[in-house]
Amino acid sequence: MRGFERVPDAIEPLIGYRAWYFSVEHHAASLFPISNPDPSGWSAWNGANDRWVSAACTLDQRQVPLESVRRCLERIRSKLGYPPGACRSFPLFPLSPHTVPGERCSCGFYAMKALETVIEPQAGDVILGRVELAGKVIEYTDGYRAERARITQLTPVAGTEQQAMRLANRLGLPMTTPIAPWSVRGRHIWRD
Amino acid sequence: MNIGEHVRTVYIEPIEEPPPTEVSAPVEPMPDPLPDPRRQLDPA
Repeated sequence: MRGFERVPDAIEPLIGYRAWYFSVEHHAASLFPISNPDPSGWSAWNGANDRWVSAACTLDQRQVPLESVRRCLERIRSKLGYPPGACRSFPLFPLSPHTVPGERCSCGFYAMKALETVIEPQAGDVILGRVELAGKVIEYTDGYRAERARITQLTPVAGTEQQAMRLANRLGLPMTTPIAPWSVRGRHIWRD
Repeated sequence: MNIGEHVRTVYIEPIEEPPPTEVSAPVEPMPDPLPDPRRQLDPA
């Protein structure tokens, strides 16, 4: 068992849907998360086309502030009326190491429960897909945050089929029929 | 990504598929190039 010591609740992966930015070159193809893409070009989704990959949390790797700085910030927070300790939405201090996804963190692989509810990224070459989720999974009303994931299917946005086909061939993934663009289905803005 | 309100936390341990095994090609019977030793030992 990987970190999360408990008896499994199930052996069938949960199914989710999400979007990625993608790039296809002569010998490589990559999928990048819509939010917070790594400036180095590395993607947590590398390899998820043919195996399970695991999410990591970068928030608990931040440098611990000096004790004097921490106390000063606590005083300021107290004067502003905040309760002592880290704020849930914006942790002021590094989180303690935790299993991904952490309940008080925003880490993990994200996916929606339905393909139609994946909201529109703001720019770039985008592809949608079906993922399997496993390990520790936190279920929400509309989606999931998961420790492990793998991609099982790609769904192109109508009009991008040619590039999507190249991507699917490079990654060795099946491709479904295209889905209508957001402009046709009703526009939403990616909130993240 | 807005995924809504927390519902529950579960642990999924998927069954790992075994790695694909190579299927060996059927072996065609080959004629024995050596004479049967019993025939050589038996007197005519």
